[in-house]
Amino acid sequence: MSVTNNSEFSVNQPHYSSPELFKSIFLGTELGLIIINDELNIIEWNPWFTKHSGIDAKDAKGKNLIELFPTLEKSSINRGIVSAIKNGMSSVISHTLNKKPFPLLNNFNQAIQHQITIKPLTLEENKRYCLIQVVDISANVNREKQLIGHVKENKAISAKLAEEKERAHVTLNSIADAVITTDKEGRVLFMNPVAEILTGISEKEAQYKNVANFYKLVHEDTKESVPCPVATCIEKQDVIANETDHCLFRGNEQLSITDSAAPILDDNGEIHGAVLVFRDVSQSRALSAKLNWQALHDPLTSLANRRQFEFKMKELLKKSRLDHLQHHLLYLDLDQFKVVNDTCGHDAGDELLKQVSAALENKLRKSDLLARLGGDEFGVLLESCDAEHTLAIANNLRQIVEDFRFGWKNQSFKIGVSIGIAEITGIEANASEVLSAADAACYIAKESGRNRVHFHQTNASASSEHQQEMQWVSRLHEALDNDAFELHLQRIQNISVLDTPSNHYEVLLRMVDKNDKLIPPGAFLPAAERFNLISSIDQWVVENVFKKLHQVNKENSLPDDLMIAINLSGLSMVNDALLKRITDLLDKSEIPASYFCFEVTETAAISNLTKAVEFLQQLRSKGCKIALDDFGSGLSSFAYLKDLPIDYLKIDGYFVKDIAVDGIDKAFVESINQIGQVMGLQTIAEFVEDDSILEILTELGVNYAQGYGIHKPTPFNEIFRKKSI
Amino acid sequence: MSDKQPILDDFFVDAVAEVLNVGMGSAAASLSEMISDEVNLSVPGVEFVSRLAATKIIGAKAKTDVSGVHQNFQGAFGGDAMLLFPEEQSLELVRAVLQQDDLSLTDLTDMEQEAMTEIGNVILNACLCSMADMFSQEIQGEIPEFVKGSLKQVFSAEGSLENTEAVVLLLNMDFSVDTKNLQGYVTFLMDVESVQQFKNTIENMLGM
Repeated sequence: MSVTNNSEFSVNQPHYSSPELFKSIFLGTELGLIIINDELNIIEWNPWFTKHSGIDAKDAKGKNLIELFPTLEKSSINRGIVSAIKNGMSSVISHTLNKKPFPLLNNFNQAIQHQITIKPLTLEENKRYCLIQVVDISANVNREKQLIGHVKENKAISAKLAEEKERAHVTLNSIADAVITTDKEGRVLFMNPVAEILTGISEKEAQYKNVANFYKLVHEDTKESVPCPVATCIEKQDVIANETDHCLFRGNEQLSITDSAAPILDDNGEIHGAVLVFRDVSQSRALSAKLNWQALHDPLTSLANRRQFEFKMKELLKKSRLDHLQHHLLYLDLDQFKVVNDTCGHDAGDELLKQVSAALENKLRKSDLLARLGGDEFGVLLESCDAEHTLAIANNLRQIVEDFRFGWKNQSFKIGVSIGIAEITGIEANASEVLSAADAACYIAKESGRNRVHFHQTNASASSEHQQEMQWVSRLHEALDNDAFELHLQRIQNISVLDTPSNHYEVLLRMVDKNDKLIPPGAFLPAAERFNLISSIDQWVVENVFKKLHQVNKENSLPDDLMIAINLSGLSMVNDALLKRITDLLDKSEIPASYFCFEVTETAAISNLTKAVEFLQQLRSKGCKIALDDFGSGLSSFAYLKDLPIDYLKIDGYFVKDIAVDGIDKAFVESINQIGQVMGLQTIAEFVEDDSILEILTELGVNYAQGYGIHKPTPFNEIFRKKSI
Repeated sequence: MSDKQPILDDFFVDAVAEVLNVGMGSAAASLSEMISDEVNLSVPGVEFVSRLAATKIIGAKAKTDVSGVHQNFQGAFGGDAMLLFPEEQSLELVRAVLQQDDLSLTDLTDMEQEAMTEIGNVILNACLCSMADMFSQEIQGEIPEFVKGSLKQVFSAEGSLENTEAVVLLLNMDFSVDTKNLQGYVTFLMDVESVQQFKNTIENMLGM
């Protein structure tokens, strides 16, 4: 090929002869060039090769290429050379598949990444040469390495981002809170499934809509609309947290929620949107409402409980100090509730309380507060109610309870209520003072015979009453110390032998005052019970009965059929010391135990049934008899009769006194008598005031009669003096 | 020239196929040595078709672009030799050879193209050498180059043959390496004159 004639070389260009030109190219090129002959001996070796292989041209030329670089023998280069020389084929020896076939180094002694092309050359006829051309592609290789590195890094980053996005998505989809994110205009970008459920609108529907369009709040109590927290949060660029009682509209439905909105800010503090988090607290609010209710109400009757009552009382007390209005407090204690509870079980008791509560509540004004204060105790607060009206209301309530009949499994029970009233005037020190005043009044009502109303006396009258009570205490102590009591006896006549006066008496107690005047037991026994002196009095009676009988026995022998009935109070029956004292007396005395009968009231016996049964059984085992007193006055439960170890059943005089004129009373006495007879008990009718009563009792088959019509109470000594005469 | 009319008799075609399979054997040996893994190459079919028919046949296999290696050759007969793979197959081929499974770029990188060029070069040289050997004729192969694009682009790139009624010697080629099986094509694009020379050469060789 001739280049000199090539027109590309202009006359203005420096002119070189072609061998010189090609030589300068060969020497100056930035390619490695080697020419070998068909025996693979090196013909040409350019300076690039010298520079990068460290082998001088004069040392390389004439040498066999494979001998100079033995590693080439098994390489693709050898194959390429053979292919070029033998078949005239050109070859590419890639860097990728042939790592650095020539040991070439750059200026920094780093290996040169190179690509090789091998071409056949025909320099002479029928003789093939081979041109080996080496290109430094280190830069390309490094760039590609970097690129791939970047690609891998990017892939790893995007994979991580995708994973984080997925995780965030899964998290938001899984959490129980509703989450909505918006742009800075408040338009929805994302909603999680809980948010869809609570708002009733799907993410698709909500997308790009302003959140305030469907997130509408009202205040739970006032029902006034509340601004959307997202707008406020974006405007103030601050977190808006609402723990207060908000309701969210879902269609027509309202959900109790708590919500908070937080701005989404970038590193520069610029706002990009907001995230709204809210949750349905309907259940927990309902629960807390229920807890609040429970804290202030009695779960059985749904009435206010003691706590609420006391709270209201304090308020009223405070108020009365300012407005000087009259308020009153009623303290109600059901009579005979225990009977129902113990005979029919707690279910019946609970039912009774519910029914009574409802009956009472019906009769009260809305402004009055009826509360259950304890087992069978109720309280009523009458706001702005004077004494007269209060008394009327109290009596009304008492009447309602009296008229009330409680039915349970074919039985009907009659109950009553004792009501104590205390005034709230503002001068009371505290609520508990008012409450204890009412309680005390209620106690008096109960003591005065139940089913009645007692007005607590305030101020002067209260203190005089207190003084009176205190006086009784000292008088009782004095009387006990000085034996200022007198024993009287009243005969209990066997009806079947009316002609022969029975030697069966009930011991009755009288107090002797300083003027030797006799005071009936009704005057001092309530105080004695109240101040825990009743057992001492019972003991005095027992001891003195023994003493007197001993005396009588010394003088005259006692009749064989003697029966002395001694009353024991409820408190005495739980008094182990008294029991021991009685049994000691019985053991030591010559008087046979069979001469004694102990009378206990039904109410006293059942108020502590187990203990009472134990007490009575002990006495009975000594040979004493037991009588159940005042049967019928209370709730007269026949069920108790089976449990109590008794010998006599004393029918309450209340039924007996009108028996001649009242058919119901007669039927009542008849049935009590019948039951008593069936149970093998001797029946005694009290209050037998005249012969007409006695006649009917005879007719009904009652065993004994007692009362003014039979025998008036007579001093102990007189009876036996008479006897002795 | 109709697509259906055979350009060369089956007789010639079978002889060419036999020759090429020998060449493939030596190419496979070279490649196995290069990548230290067993490479198998075979030519299950050879046919002479028109350029249009070749485009259709390869197009049926390659729905997307093709890539491969192009090498010009001259001598007793001249033309353009090409090794073509559907593009995703060429990716698989190179990555199987280079054992770079972790790299999931959608294009061959420069270095991968360079490797592909060498692989194609080995195969095409083997084909050309085996034919040259068989015919005891001189054929010179030029430096190979990497090609990529639609079939139409690839085929029309060989300028000198564009306007002539070129004929294609089309080889189906099965390539297996590292449990992967790939199908590619080798095409020899020749002008009518070259085909005639080719035919004459075969006749001479067979003593016809």
